[in-house]
Amino acid sequence: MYFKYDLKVGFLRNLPKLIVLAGIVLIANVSLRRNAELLSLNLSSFDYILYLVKSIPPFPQSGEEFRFPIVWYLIQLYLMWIIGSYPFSSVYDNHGVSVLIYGGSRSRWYLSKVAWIALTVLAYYLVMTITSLLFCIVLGVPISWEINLFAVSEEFSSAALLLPIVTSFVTGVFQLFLMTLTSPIVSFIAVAALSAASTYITTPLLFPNCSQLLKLSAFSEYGIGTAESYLTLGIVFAFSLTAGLIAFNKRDILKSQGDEE
Amino acid sequence: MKVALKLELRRLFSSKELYIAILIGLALVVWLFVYEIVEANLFAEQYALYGDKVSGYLYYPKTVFNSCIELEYDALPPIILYLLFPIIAAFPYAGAYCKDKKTGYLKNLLTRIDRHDCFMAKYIVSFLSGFLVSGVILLSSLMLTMLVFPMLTPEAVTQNYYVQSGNMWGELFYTMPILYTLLYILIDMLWCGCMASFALMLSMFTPSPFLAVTGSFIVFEVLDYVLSLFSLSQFSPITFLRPIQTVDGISFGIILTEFIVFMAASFTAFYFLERKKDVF
Repeated sequence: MYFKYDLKVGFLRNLPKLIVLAGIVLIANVSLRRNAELLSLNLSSFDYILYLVKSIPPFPQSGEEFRFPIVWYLIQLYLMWIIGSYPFSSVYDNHGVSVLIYGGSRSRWYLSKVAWIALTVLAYYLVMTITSLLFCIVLGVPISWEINLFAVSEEFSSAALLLPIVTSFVTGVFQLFLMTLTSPIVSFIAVAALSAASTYITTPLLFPNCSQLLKLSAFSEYGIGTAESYLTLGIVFAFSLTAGLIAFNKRDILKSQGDEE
Repeated sequence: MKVALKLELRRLFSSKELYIAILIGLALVVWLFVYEIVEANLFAEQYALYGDKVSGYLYYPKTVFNSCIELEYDALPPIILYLLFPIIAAFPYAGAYCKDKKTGYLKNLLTRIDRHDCFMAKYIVSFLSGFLVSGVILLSSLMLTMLVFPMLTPEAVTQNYYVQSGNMWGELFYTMPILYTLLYILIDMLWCGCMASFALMLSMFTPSPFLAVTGSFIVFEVLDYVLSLFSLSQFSPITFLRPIQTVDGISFGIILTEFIVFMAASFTAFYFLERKKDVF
């Protein structure tokens, strides 16, 4: 019952927000196209997709000057914003309480939100991919799986390419857990700060690092290993889910009414 | 007007959001302070052992003007603080209007207070909330740093400072650095007030405090990104708010003009349009 409700209210009604994402992706693609022409680079359609999550190499180990990865940050930030805007939007008002009671289980309510996050993340990355592909088709960029935008190391495996999606999902679940403890705004500030910190410090403990391709050993000499990334994400996911379920089950919903965000 | 203003100010100072926003900023300030102390001690130990050979240059100590959160250029806390300023500034009060509409508090208020006074007071307090929060954070950092580090006049040849003489007020920085720092803090405070007012304007379009408070953050981030693509970062508030001036071309004219535009837009929308809406 809960998931059906989340699908209708949380997912379908939020779909128009993805138009802004398509706009951001198009602007990023135009910028990459302009740079590729200036530097005479032959990029494939896959490069245009990876550009959105490539970020910057580990700092300061790479020896390059720190340049804030605005494209990666903006894309992740907008996803966090969409995730932050829904789950607790109505739980503290009368309608939300009625929905919660009607469903009969707080755990199911929470798990339904986790499923909603998974669906939102998938739709988000799908929109990114489709927009980039359409851009490439319109401008005649070759559609292929080749990676020419940056070097690929010997440790490369296709599992590394899935890390941005998995990391976004785990970050969303972590954000949901923080929302349960605090509020949507405070949790949004926390994950926005965590993501900003991860651009500067390369360690799996700041797990948003795992969604930045150039911070992975598959693409960078000083990067984080793919197995290490999955292990960290698994631990964060298990902790966030368990702690979130316990916290939400113990939360006094009626007492929190009026604090709704 | 006085009654409405007093009422809104009391709400602001009794809201937990104000103190959470200040705490977030102060946490970053303390983080940077500890980092600077540790760095300075490490360098002092190395210097005691090896003298000038430690870095190959003449010894130049850390000063207030490259260690406070406004002027530090090589650490993480200032990056996070200036990135999050739009949301930290909006957090204390910008969502209050959404809650007022949702709970019916606004209806009660309007039966007792003149509409003009009510909306004007809300706008003023919203501006003040951003102004105050940023002021507390930035001045705390400056004062905390002053407790430990010397206030040496910056020397450009030491290459320990990010501000260039060709930047806006660059000469002032190298002659009267404290005045430069205080003036820039004032600019930041005014702009944070402006960002909070802008978030209040966004609350006209949504019933959700979350969307109102974080919406302005998203708007300023997208603006920063789009301007950076056209090499126009000097026009982005997120960029020009940092006193170290990370891009060339920032001028007081740009800062002032944009401030007036954003203030005028938010004031016109909130005071003239929202005030006329029927809340009953």
